[in-house]
Amino acid sequence: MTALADVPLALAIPIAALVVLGSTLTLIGATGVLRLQSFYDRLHAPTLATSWGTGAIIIASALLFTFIDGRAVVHEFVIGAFIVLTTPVTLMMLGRAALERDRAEGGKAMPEMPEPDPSPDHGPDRGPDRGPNHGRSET
Amino acid sequence: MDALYYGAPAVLLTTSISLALYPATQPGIRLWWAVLYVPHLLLRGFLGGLDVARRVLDPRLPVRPGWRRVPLLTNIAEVNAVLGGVVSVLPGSLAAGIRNGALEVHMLDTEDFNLRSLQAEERRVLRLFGMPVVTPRYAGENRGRS
Repeated sequence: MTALADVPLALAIPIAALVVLGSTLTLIGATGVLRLQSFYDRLHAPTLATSWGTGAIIIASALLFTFIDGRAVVHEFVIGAFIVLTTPVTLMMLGRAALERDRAEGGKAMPEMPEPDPSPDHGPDRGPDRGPNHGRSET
Repeated sequence: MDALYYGAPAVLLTTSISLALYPATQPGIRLWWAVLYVPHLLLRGFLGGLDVARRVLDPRLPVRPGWRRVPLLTNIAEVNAVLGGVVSVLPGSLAAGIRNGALEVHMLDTEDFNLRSLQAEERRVLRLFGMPVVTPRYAGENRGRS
């Protein structure tokens, strides 16, 4: 607690503001999970917490411990990078699984999406010399 | 110094697993371009987050969720996987996979769907991988409903 008491006001204010901002965004994200209706809608809400909700708290933590330790403390950013990288993958997997389930069951929840216009041109390709994954288009 | 006893094997093991799962011969991103791209992504994420927060806090809950298809410029799996991640990390849009050459995107508000914006994002991802950027194959957007 002694170290915290030594934090100057000019640094304490932005740190506190960032913590409040991050926790507020996280709370709003949680509120969104409650208020939004369908499974797909609810997948959008956690991105609030995992983007700038986490980011603001991480910046606040890095600032505080850099001051207290007297050296650059940046490993929080690694935690943030992992969260930012893994969350969209998780959400995509959840969304894709739900979409496949809805399509397989063919129920009312199945989204309707017209197919795009067919076109022979498919942009830059791997080419024949780019290994066994040539033509793989599914993520 | 003691940290090296743990850190060095961990680095070697992690590097080996990474190379086994994703060999160096596979397409890779350009680091300097990633350094330029991340701030752009953070800004868009922040602005998108504010918009989602506004909608969630509004008592009327002004959302018009639905699906949109974004025709893809390339069929390179790595590029499309990163594009899906970029779309999903932005609040208000969620990529759920690729079907018949198009990215299936769930929008929290379909009125905000901007095909050109997403195609611009795809071109940025292509540049991230050092791939040639081509013009969009489709002029219009394909609409669906939830």
